[in-house]
Amino acid sequence: MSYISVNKMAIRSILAFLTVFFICANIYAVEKSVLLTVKPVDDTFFDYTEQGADPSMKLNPDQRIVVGLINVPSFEIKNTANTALYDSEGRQIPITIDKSSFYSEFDDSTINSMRISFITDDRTIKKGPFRFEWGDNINSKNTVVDKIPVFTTSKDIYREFTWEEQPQKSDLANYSATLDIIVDDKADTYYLWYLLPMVLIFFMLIIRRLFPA
Amino acid sequence: MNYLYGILSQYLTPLTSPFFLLGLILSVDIAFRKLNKLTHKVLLPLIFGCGFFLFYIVAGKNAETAKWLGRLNNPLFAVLAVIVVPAIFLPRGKYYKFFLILPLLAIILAVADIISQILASPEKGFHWFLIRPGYLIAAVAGIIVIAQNFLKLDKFRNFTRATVLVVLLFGGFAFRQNYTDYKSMIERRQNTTPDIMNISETTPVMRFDNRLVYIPSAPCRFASDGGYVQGCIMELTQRIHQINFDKVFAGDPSEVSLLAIALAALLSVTVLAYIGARWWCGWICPLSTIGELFNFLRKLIGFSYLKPTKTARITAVTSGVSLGLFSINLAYLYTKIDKEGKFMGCKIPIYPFCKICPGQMVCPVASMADSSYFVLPGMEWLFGFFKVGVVALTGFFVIGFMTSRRIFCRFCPMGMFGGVFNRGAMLAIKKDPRKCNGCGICNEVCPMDINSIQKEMVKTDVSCFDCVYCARCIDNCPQDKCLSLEFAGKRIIESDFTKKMNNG
Repeated sequence: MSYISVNKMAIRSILAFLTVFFICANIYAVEKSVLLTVKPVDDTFFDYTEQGADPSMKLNPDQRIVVGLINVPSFEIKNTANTALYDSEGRQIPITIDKSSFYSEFDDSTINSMRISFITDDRTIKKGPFRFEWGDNINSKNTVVDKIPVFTTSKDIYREFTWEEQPQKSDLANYSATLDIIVDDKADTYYLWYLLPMVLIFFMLIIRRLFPA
Repeated sequence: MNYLYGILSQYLTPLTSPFFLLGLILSVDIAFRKLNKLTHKVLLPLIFGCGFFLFYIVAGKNAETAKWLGRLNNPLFAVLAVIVVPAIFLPRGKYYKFFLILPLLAIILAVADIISQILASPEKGFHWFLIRPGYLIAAVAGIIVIAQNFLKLDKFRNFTRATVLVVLLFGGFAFRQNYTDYKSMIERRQNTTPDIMNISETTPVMRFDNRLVYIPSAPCRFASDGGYVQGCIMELTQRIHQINFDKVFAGDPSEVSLLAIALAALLSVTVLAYIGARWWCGWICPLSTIGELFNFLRKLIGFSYLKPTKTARITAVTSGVSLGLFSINLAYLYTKIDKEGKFMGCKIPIYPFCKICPGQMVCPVASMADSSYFVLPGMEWLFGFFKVGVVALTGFFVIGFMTSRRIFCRFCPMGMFGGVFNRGAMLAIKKDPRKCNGCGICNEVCPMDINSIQKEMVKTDVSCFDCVYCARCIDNCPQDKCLSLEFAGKRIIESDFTKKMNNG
């Protein structure tokens, strides 16, 4: 086999490969999202928040302040503007982000967990779950504060959200909205998957030792 | 350059996966062993490449899988797959020079990145070489691949060792990622307080995006400003032992992420060890390169080396295993210390093995870290275990290399990890017993004093646990085609005494 024919075949294969590659490559730039479940606050809610005096803001009787922690395992942003919240009808809702709650796995500029709050009303909550999106292509004007204050004297205006609980576990009678969560509750065990390729490598090692080519 | 780097980072992400490199080499291995036609040999890895890209794209659609794969990404794998593997396997015909454009391009891109970062720097003056890790590793690999065409094996090995030593040892301050990274490193260096028992405030260059980058052998993280990579396998093992598994099982997100990052790093380093086994010790390890300088000093003085006895060799191995295991247990006990920093009245440092490892003594001094000059730990640290240990092992390191070549490498626990992969992985020393005349030159030139290659007269695979794949035995064998080095089914070096004689 001459080098020329090999090279022709190789060049064709590489061109085919590059075509497939460039067509598919933009798929990386997709936004990720999670549905948020809104529920009444329990006693522990006030443990981890900074408390203060009565709010000076004027809220309508049916309006609620929803506070919660975004710590989805896949959550990873470099800029707080790369997040957005939508209600069930697709309208964007402005969010406030708690700077003190930023958690980074490596103390770098990446944020892997943060607390957010937003104002909504009972009617919107009843209509369905909220969708929280993040990704490099999102550019929202979010408010970042040092700490989201919570006013214990007005407990009933607060709601919290969670993305953890499955709908069937929820007591709907106590909830102000129908709940629908699409997340993987086994996400924490994904780290164990690293052991599988390691086992395979050692298996290959043993096989090749026992049966050298 | 930023735009170009962004494009490369986005489109070449699958190449930075260890699975791509491993799969590529395994497919090449199968192609060279099982297939006869050259077209098929080229086609199989290409089919694998296309398949892997599609797999990666599909897997990336799932957030969890994308993050799982992302923790493994490392530009080193891409460089090995794109520059080093083709350099090994491409036939050395007249078309090989077209391939050399690729490493040349890598060097040009690296220089362009340095210049663009200098021009964009807000402060005038010399800031060492600000360069992104991907460009630097590609350029270093490119330099080595090009140099291989001009240098004889012995010189090529020394050239590779010296080049890698510069990056691993001086990379911590000489090759920072960008100006901001460089300035924060300068800020950290203002602290000149000698501190032996705590981790210095150093940050390796390649520690980013929720990933830790380790390589087999001993790239000490205590080299100046954290060195270039995170460290050796012993540092990683101690790190894993300090993870609070109670919290992990309780689902604590920060502890789970620490474990995930550590396991990802362990998987990456396992892939590298499977591919290179103990070749990393013979060609890359900065500790052994520094040790070789002591060996060179011995030759310069004119002393002949001492052959270690069988007892000495066994003692070195068992001491290495015992001390390694003991230190790992101490690392676990560190998690049990009380508020005074003691466990059962004893003070234990955060990384116990690092505190007795000569790497922490030698590498910082060699890389001129102002804040890392060692001070001896006091007797209050585990009844003087670390004080005695560090003096004894540093002494063993220096005296061992000065008198008995690589006797220290038999002790080295980092090297032992690579030794596990010496048989059955990708690299193998092969021998044709019919051509061996039993002269024993392979044993004489071997820095590890391995005599099994000389003695073996039946089997063809003569790889053994201690071999560091320096290939001196092959280079010096007086019998043509008697000894050879195989990588993934391809014979890459073989003894050719006739050619050597003809070339003078």
